[in-house]
Amino acid sequence: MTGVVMALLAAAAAVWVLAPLRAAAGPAGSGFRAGEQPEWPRAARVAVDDALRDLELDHATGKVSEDDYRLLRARYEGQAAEAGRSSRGSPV
Amino acid sequence: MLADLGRFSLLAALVLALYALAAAALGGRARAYGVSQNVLPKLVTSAARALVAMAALEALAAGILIFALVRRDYTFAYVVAHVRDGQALGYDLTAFWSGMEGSLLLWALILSGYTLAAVRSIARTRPRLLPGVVGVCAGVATFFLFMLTAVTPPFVTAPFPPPDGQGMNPLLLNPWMAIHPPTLYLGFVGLTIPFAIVVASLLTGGADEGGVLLARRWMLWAWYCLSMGLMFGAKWSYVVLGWGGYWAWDPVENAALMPWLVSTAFLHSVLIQERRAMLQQWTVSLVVLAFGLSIFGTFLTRSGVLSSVHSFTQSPLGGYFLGFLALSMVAAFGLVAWRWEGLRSEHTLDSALSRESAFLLNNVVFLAVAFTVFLGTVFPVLSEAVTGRRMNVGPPFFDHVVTPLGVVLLLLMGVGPLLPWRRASTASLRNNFLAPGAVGIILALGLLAAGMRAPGAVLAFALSGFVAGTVVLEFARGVRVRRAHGGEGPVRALAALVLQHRRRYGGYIVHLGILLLFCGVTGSSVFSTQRLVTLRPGEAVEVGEYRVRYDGLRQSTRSGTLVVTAALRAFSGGRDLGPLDARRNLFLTGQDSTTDIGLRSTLRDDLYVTLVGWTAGGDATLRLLVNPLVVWIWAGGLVLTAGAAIAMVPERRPARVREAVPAGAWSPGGL
Amino acid sequence: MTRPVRPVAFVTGVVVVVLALAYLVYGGIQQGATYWVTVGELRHEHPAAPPGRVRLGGTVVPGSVAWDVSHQHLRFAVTDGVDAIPVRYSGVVPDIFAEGRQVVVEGRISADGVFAATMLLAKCPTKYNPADPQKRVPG
Repeated sequence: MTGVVMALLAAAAAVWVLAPLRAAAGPAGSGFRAGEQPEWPRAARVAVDDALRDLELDHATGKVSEDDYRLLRARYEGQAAEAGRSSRGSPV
Repeated sequence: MLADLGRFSLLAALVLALYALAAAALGGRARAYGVSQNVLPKLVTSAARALVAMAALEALAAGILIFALVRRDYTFAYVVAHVRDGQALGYDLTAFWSGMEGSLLLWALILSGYTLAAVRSIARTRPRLLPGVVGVCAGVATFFLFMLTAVTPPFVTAPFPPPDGQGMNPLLLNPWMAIHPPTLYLGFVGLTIPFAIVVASLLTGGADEGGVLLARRWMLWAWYCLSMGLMFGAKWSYVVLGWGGYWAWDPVENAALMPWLVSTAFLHSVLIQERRAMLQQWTVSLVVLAFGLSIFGTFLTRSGVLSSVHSFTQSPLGGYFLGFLALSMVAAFGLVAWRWEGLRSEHTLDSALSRESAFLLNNVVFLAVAFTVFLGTVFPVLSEAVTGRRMNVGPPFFDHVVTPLGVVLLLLMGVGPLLPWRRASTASLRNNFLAPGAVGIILALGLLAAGMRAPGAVLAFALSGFVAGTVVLEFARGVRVRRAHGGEGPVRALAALVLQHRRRYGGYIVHLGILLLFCGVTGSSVFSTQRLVTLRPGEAVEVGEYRVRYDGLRQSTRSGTLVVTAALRAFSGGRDLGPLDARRNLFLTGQDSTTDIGLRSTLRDDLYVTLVGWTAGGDATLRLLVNPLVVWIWAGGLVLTAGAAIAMVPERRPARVREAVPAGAWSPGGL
Repeated sequence: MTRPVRPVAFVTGVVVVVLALAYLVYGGIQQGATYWVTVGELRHEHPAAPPGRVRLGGTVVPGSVAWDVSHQHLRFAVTDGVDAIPVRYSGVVPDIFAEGRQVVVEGRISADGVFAATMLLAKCPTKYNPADPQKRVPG
């Protein structure tokens, strides 16, 4: 009886685990387009927003010099624009 | 029958883990060679599915073990060792992790849980790292499953079950010790995921920041669990072991402390990396080190090699753990070395007096403490290897080295957040530190005037005042800025400030928790008083500002235990504070006994009484302690929890970026 | 453009920290280190055993325990299976101390051949405990 259960479990696992290897190449679950990095832009955008907010607070509380503030702000805004660009369409 | 199924489940899980490791490795390499882009996702998907199936089988094995424990099936050797008729059902359940085999199974199970969550998250955000993460998690799972199938199997059975089990050590029959191991494991195991992310990032050699920014959130969670685990352990030690302390620099305590220290260092250095793109090589190394210490810590608590009175080679378990540790560290640090130049940061330190340098110093000191703890912990083995004679170092060694380092960290905790980036000018120093510095000095003078003479304690409290001042200043400044912009009321401004800058202010709240902890440790270490007396019924003893009267012995029996209670009454300055009981529980089945301390906690101090012994004539020998500020330690833990919880709430999604999945993006498909 | 910190300053800083740590560690070891010895070593090499505080591990000999609770005096013998040595100890005795259990004592061998212990640790009899609850009583 136990042997039957074991055999069933083993078979089910094997079938399920090996299934993707036999699937034909299709749109769902197959497609790295050659060379493209499907990095998720949302996380990057959130991180940049967070950094910008932090920078503003640091600047307002006097922990960043004027020069550094301008430099960093320009850098972050560039990153934000880039993250916005890499998602489909432009941010509304 | 069930045991066979359990053994099979673990064996099948091992096979799946090996398959996942191979498939992920293959899938990853196919990508590197640009070969057959269609093969990659199929192999990696298959590997991910193997991990899911492995998790299901581990859950099945765990379920079988729990079932056997709850049903008190004494054909299982593990059940016999940890369960007894008459043991409370709750502890039958916690017996799952109170023994070596069960705890390794718990480790593997928790790892699977984390792995599945990580795979889902990374497939969505950074699919390029997926083969590496799957591979590393599969590799670690392989080790633990190998241990569970070949070295310490949980499903050893005997054909003729004994009539009753041995039961758990009574010292473990306590709620704090029930939750302490799983909490600690959530921390230990949690360090595997950031490790996997970092290794995956190093393998793919991407131009990203070594994976540490992605790993940060996982590290924070693991750090939080380790913090809680350490606090529960300290609480258990204080309340159950009855020696009056909460930390003994025991090897198993140190085993959890070391990864905690390194994780804390990481949480600070990653901030520098995020804001200034600095210290990348260092931060990546910290993640690898933290994982190594978590494996080392598991090894220490499992093999008992250092607390054992016998020699090193007592069980083969240690050898396997050390082998795995060596292999993984050599491989991971080798990867770091390989990618060393690629990890080099764009920026370097600008000034010796800047936030960056304060954070760097903070990291160095944390690592120094971790190194010290490590050195003291392995001293017996090290000294034997070097000098031929085995030597021990005890709490005096740790206290001597760690205390000054702790004071430096306390100072940095106040100074760091207030220093400007890149370089501090004298004007900024004056603005930032004048008020908190004044608070510290005034506090010091006040304490000295009140009669406190211990210089270390005065310094510690004064610094705590200083740090508290800096935190308050940061909050006040932030509120002022918000009100200047939005014109809100102070309370709303404060709430909005904290919510908008969760990591920063959550971190400050954590610092406040650490402050409370520091004060509690200082108070109870420096100003504790003790009396050891034998009293006749009716006699009283003075300890600290309390007077404790012994009213006599009571005896009762409760489920196989003889309970001897010393009835006491506490007074302070004439005021009756109520009854206090100090108990000894004598277990009639063996020679074990435990202590229930008499404890009266206030914000100011703890009155702590242990019943040590008694005579036939009814005299009682009592050990009485007055430990100041111990409650501050537990309060500090709660505040730390609140701060960590705030910092861990994920950032809001920005409304503007469209959330639809870009067409053609890779997804695990069918997971 | 700000001038970056020169490598010399950085290296000096690291050296200072390392030296400070080494100094602390050395002092700590001086204060806290004890040698491990076995019962056999103490019995047979009595004059040549490491001087000062040592740690001794062994099993409590059944029948050897004499405990004066009211004065907190404990006498027992500890053995490594071959030799035994008498121990006297003043202080709080851990809950798990019992005949036949493993103990670790720290102290000095005195002129009369009795080991004067200042610290007593008892080890749980079960092979493994998650937090290794040795009752620690720094005596």
